[in-house]
Amino acid sequence: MRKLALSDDILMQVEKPARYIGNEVNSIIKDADSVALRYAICFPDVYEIGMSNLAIQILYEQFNRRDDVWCERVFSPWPDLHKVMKEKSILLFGLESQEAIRDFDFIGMTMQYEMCYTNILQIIDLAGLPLLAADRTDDMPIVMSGGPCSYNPEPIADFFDIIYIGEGETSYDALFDLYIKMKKSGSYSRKEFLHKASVIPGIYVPTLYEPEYNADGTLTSFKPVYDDVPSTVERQVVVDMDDTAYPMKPVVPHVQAIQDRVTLEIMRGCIRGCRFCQAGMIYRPKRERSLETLENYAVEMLKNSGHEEISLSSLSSSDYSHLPELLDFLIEQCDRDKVNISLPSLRIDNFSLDVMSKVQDVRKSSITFAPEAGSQRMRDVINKGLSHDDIINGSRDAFLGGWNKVKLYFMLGLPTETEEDMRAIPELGDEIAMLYYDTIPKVQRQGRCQVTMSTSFFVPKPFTPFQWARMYEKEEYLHRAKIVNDHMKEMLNKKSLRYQWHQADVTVLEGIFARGDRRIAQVIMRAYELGCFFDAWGEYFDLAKWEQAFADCGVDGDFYIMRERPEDELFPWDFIDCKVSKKFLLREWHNAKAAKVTKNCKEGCAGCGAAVFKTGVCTTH
Amino acid sequence: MEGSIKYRIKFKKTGCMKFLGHLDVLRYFQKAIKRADVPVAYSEGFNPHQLLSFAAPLSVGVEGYGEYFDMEMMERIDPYVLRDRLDAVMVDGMRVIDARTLPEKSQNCMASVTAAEYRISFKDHDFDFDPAYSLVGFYQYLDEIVITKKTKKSERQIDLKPLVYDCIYDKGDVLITLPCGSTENIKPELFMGAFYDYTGIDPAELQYTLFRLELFGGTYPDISPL
Ligand code: SF4
Repeated sequence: MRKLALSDDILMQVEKPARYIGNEVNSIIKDADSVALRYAICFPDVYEIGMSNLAIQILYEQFNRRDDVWCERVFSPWPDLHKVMKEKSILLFGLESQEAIRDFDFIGMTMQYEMCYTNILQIIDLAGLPLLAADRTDDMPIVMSGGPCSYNPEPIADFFDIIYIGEGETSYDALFDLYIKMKKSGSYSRKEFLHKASVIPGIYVPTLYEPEYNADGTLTSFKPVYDDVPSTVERQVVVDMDDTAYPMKPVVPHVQAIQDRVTLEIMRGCIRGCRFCQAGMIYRPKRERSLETLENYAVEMLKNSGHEEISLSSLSSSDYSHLPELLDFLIEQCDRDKVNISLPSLRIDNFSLDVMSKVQDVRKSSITFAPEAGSQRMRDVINKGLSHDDIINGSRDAFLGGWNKVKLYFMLGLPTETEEDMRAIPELGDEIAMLYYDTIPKVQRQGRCQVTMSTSFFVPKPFTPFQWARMYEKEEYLHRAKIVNDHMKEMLNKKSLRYQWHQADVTVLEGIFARGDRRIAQVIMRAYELGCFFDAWGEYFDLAKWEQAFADCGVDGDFYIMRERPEDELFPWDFIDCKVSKKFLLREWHNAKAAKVTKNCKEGCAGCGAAVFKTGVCTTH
Repeated sequence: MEGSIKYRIKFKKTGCMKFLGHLDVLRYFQKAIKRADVPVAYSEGFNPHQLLSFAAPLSVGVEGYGEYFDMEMMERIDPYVLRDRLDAVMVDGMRVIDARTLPEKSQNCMASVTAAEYRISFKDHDFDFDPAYSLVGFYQYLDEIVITKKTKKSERQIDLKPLVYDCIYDKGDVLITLPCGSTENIKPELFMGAFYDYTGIDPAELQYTLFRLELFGGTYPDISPL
């Protein structure tokens, strides 16, 4: 039996020790001596969160398919264990082998949200490595990352040897082959390897690029230090979605994961073109998996894991061409095998209501709309192709179908937002409540209807038409939430309305990280030194420490978020060729300001640039 | 469920799997049963769940060698086949060691447990006596072992002596049988606490590992494995 990295005494001291023992169903054990490359794939948050992530499971499967690679998982030790590991100098270990990842060849992290940045440092620190890539030596693993946050990698660029831009399916093999070849031939040095790796498509080696700044703090230039290093890094994309690695034998977590189920990724990309949405831009074009592939995945994954729930994953499942057939298949299969189906992100219409009534208890569940903005004008600004009529008709059908709970998601702080737009949020809620009482006769009502409105604060992201937009002070965000809340209390059906808003503490910081440059790295390091980590967890987020970190480093966070950026400004992320052109984004920024709607990819091509991949929805025109 | 047949499953939870909490073990078996593809019975309604009943929860960190749960099945299946199908989908540290059919009207696992047997194994220490020997002596020579049992609501004085069904010396360890279940439940830690208090030994200097060996039903002294 494997020897655990942590003693029984330590495991008995910490919360949920099963997070650290490995040995899960479908986890992969190999003979360490028979592989040429050991990879630690890491989600920089706690086990239950990380184990819910699909990217980790896909890469785990993809890497371990190679006989010469052994990939193990690593998650952030919870603060209780962190303290013990620091005190006793215990090095962070892979869950499978329980051996220190300091001795692995690669440590690769996925960065799904900005608030995990201090957790990245925690991982590097507990692994026993220098925080800065520049300080690492030949005998240390290559520390790399990927994921949505890599589309502006600059705030964390100093911590990584390599940042992978795009979908992991395409370039990892070339990277591994290069590494193994250099190691075998004895020609490996960290410097040589990174230099050679920088030519592989999608591979960004931060130390090989140098930013220069203007007196006003904006970028003058961002250039590679050697001639043979590409000046732009091209986003990588899977062309054939039926020809990828997929976790047909998903690792089944010991501790209940946030998403305790198998995930069926039906497609990537989105045709909608909402202007605030980074995912809708950086995963273009929309590419589907075939019905046969998905049916096969579903059956295999459920059989191999024993999970009792399956969920569809995509940015907008209603846009999947074969959705009715897929759902028919799943409903029949799952009904027989007593498996629950969870259906996120469906547009509410007669079809989806019918499906939902088959898989969930109508009286207990609610229907969800994400209008994102209360007024039609604001929805046109953000290019949210969901009309007032869609919402009203969808709600009416839902009420007639027996539902009486509606959830509505909105954003506050969007560009050009006026008080009228804010007030339109509770007004829309009120209209829906009114509709319920008008539609459903008193004798048929199951109590009051319940309309819950939630708002989050908008954070502009790179590679979106809103990358030029400004943000606001924390107080301003809370003021806007108050306008919504106050106005809700004036509504006729206020007793049927609920309003929840997110805290604004992290909003501003998230904004700085999203569009910051390399000068932010020192602040993140300082904050970690001051004890910040698990910032995504309300109970651990400490705004005062972050403010101190900015002050200590003499970095002005406002510079990154409190100004509308000039159209000709060079952005820190502009060296990434995302294949959605800056020209297109700028055109969309202008359309937004004019509240002009752009067609979605199905209705007509808007010429974003992603057609160069020659796949998915782009090939249908 | 109407027409279903009950089976009792005996399993072992050892090695690193001892760190799984009770709810995690429950979820582990729900998934294992699905992987084993055996005709388990489900509850009605949306979100149907398997009809399982686990015997007394085992504390995190303790290995169990005779653990039980009951499962209801839609159709009859050879108990050996059931055992083998379940055992084939276990991870290291978990073993399904037995399965048997229960009579139709039998009580479920949870309600049947009345006693548990533990092994107390002392770790390396600096004392010049055999602590297992002392522990058995402590039990045998005292007329009463009065301790304070704290629950969330109350505190009460109880005498452990008549509640310890058995306490014997076994190759440097101690085997102890205690009431377990919903009527009376005495954790071995409680008994050990009384031992440390009485002898004045610092628990940090004489540590022990606990194993749960078997669960029993019936009324003492007439008890037998579940
Ligand atoms: S090129 Fe046209 S069809 Fe393709 S993703 Fe861009 S806008 Fe959509």
